[in-house]
Amino acid sequence: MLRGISLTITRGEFVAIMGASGSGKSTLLYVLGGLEPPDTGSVRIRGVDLYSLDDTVRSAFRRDHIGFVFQSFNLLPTLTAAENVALPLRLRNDRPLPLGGPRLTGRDIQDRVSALMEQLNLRGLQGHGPDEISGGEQQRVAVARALAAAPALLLADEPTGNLDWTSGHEVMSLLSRLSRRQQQTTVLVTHDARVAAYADRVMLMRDGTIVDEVPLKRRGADDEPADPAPLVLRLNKLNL
Amino acid sequence: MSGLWSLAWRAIRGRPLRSASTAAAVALGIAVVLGVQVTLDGLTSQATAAQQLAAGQSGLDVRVDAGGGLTTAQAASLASLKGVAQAMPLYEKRVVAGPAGTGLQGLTVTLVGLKDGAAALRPLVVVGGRLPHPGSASEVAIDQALAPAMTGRAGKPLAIGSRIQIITSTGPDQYRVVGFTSGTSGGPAFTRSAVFVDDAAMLGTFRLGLRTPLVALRLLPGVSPVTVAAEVQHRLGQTVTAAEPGGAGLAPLADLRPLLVLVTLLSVIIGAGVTANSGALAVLERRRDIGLLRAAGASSRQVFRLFAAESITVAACGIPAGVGIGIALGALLSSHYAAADLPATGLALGAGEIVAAIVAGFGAAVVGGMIPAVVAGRLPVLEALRFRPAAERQRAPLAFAILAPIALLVAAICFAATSSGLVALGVALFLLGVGLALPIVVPVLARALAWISSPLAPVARVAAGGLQRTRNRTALTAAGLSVSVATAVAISVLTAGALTASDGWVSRLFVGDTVITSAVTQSDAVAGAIQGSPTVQLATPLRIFTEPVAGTSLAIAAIDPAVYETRGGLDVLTPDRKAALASLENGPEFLAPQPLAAASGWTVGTQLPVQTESGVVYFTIAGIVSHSFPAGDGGESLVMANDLAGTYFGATASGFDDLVVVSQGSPQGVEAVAATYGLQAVPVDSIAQAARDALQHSIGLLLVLAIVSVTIAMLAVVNTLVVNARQRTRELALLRAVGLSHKQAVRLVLAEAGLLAATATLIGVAAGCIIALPMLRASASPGFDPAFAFPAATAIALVLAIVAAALLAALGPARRAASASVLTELRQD
Repeated sequence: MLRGISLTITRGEFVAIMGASGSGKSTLLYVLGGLEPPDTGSVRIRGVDLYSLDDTVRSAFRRDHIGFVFQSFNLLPTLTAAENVALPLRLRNDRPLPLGGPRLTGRDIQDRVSALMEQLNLRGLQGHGPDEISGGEQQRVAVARALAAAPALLLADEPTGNLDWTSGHEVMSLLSRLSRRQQQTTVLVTHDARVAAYADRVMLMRDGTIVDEVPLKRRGADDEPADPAPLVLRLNKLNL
Repeated sequence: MSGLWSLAWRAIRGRPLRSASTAAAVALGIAVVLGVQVTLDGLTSQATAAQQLAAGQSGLDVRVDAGGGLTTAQAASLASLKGVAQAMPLYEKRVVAGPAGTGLQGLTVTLVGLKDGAAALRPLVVVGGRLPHPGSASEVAIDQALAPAMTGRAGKPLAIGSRIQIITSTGPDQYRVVGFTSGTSGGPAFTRSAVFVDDAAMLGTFRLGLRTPLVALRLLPGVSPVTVAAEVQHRLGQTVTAAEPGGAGLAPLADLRPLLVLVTLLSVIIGAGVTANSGALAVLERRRDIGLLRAAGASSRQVFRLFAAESITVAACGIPAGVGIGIALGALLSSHYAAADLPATGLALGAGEIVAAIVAGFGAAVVGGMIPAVVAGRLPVLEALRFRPAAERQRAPLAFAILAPIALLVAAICFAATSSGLVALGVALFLLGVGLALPIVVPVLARALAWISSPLAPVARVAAGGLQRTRNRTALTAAGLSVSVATAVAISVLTAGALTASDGWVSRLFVGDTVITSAVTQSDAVAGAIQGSPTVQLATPLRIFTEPVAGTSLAIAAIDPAVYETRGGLDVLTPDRKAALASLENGPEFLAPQPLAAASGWTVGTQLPVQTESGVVYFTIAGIVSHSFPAGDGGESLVMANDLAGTYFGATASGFDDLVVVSQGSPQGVEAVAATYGLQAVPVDSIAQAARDALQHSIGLLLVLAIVSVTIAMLAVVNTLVVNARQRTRELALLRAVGLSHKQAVRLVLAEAGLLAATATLIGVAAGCIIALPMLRASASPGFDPAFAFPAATAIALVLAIVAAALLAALGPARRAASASVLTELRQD
């Protein structure tokens, strides 16, 4: 259960949410993503009150403005990597657009998917099924899918949870670059301080409330994490 | 292909086995509907074609059964009716005939006149030689059924060119046999004891005592037989009957049609159930996918459409196969059930039948597929994203727990009713109640079976736990199987009951061990000679003839009441049996069969005007019997004493058609005696067996369809077993990590499959027995009282076959699940 949370995230900001199991960090992410309506309060993205929309319109809003990356089982097993990336765009074409926007041609979709896969270093994997690529590649395909509709907000729930450190680092570097170079607003849930260190600031949660906020100072290149030491100290202090 | 259809198609291709088995279930549903339609239409068109063939060019038959039939003036009057192109009288006469040189001895045969090679505008089926030439007064053609009886005493078979003698007004005259005809229902079939001569001979040599029972009218094109019939009645009065010979509605397997419809419906519903089950499994397996889709922006409507598209596509894939199998099934059943003595007709297949079958089978499957699609669309996003199969623990739906006892209670009330409609409603409600109760009953029974089998299969209890955890999925899978097994068992019970009742019926009609039959009426002297044979203990004659009774032509069976009273024949419903049979000897009295009495409103004491040789005599109904002797027209005959029959109907009622014999020692001796008179001896057991065969032949169709239903239901079981095994993979890995061997893991999955199949089948067997009881009661009639007998052979065969099929289906998935890498599975999540 979430209580008394007030949070503003500016465009291009990379925010991490940390907390113990059951602290409500994933729930907060789902509330932000329009998947779980709050009992009270509202969530506004680009000025739109997400929960004032009915299910169909909210789904379309989510499709066009919010991208999700999950910890595991991220890809539809019956689709290739390219088809997984194209999924939000195909869903958008399937029904009239309640929120407006142009209808995409097959070529538009293909170009967008190719560009994303190129950008995320997934060249050559277009025709591969999820079971034919590594865990790190799967997660990058998932990120590409989340970015397919050029969303205003990218939400990632433990995106490195099932990956080894090298693959996890690749994914986090990617999210970090996207945030810094393309102004991609990103909210990340993790329990790992080394992962959270890629963010601009870290919200610390306990029992459904944000108990602290730690700004992080980046060092080096765009895809390098900040020094996690201050964060670790704060976590230790709060006994999280 | 648009996005959703593409996704649907990918999902179908991703699960080829399940998609194929679901499409197969839909195909079988369509096939059953089409096969049954084709069969019934084929049999109807065959019977109609045969009837039209038998009717020949006759558009309307005008009959008078009493006396000499229609007069020459009446026949001439019919020819002048508006719309009538030709009026052709049928001349008929009973004469004594026999091989040449047998003096005045012979058989009583029916002489039928031919005009232009036809009898009353009906073509004759010539099986050998030819018909008498027009104008010939010395040639005859003989029905092939009559030929053996004519040869018996001469010792030499009749052949083309043989000479026979017929008693005419001038004495025995000889005629040359020029051909043999077939008295099948495809021909004129006036009688199976006919000798055909040209009309010139009929109106010449045989003129004396000639009857004209029928005038066949050939109508001008476009003229309605109904209009002409009305004109005939207007002109000749109510003493004549006018009927359309080729127009009567025929419905082969009519008695079975309600059950056929029921079994066909069940097949369609079970096919829809397989689609629903398959869809539900897809929703279950792909909950996470649904969550991802929703998170990626798919609306609930899009998710619904995705799963609906899958169901529609899979069901559509079953259409071509369904139509193909349906046509093959229809052809197979049509050839099996077609009457062998009727000309074959082509396959009765029209676009309408195909469309109807597709609409029924495909439509039901689509409806079945919509239910899980709706569930998929309504699935909360987070619940879908967080779903873990291993943690699944289903609860029985509260609505089912409330509705099941209500349905069963109402069913029980319906079972107590006497109306067959209410009983049918009760059966439907009972099966519905059983289906609703399955989420509660299946786990309990599975646990009990597991407990019983645990000494042999220690993993059975764990397997039962698995079934309990997924009780709703288990129940949905078991429902089709239980219902189809219940249907098969109920049909088996009905068959067994009907066969027992049929045996009783035959034994009450034929009060001996052998029946000597003859194609023509034999004389009393032959009966006396056979009675005097040392191999015969008792011989009682049976003569069946037709007379006008209360304005209708009815069959009358002449018997010896004393013999039937002594030997317990005929089941007299009212009044006292002894009194009823004794009263037949007292005067003009009949015993009436209950179906005829009920249809005519007759009771004991009812008086019926009967045309006899000495004029109209009023016969009294002395008693009602449950069933009587077959009348030859599908009905049953009235019964009277044979000595009084001779008194009232003269030569018409004399002699015998059948002789019921109690043999002295071996029935073979009776056969030899019968053969010396050109007669055939048939053991009563053979008659009973023939009746059993005919019954089994008809009911076999229902059993075939019930087995198809079971097959369809098994496809759902296979689907569920595959998904269960797949979902148990991680659980099995966990168990293997703590010491379960590979073999034990396989056994665990197989035990679950066996338990599911055995539980569903046993519930089906029990339900089948329960619904069979009221169905037996509803099918009973006076004298036909089918008793309940547990169909042990059917039940055992079903349990063994279904459990074996389930184990076989689960073996592959079980091996795969047990062989999965323990580490890989444990690393998941």
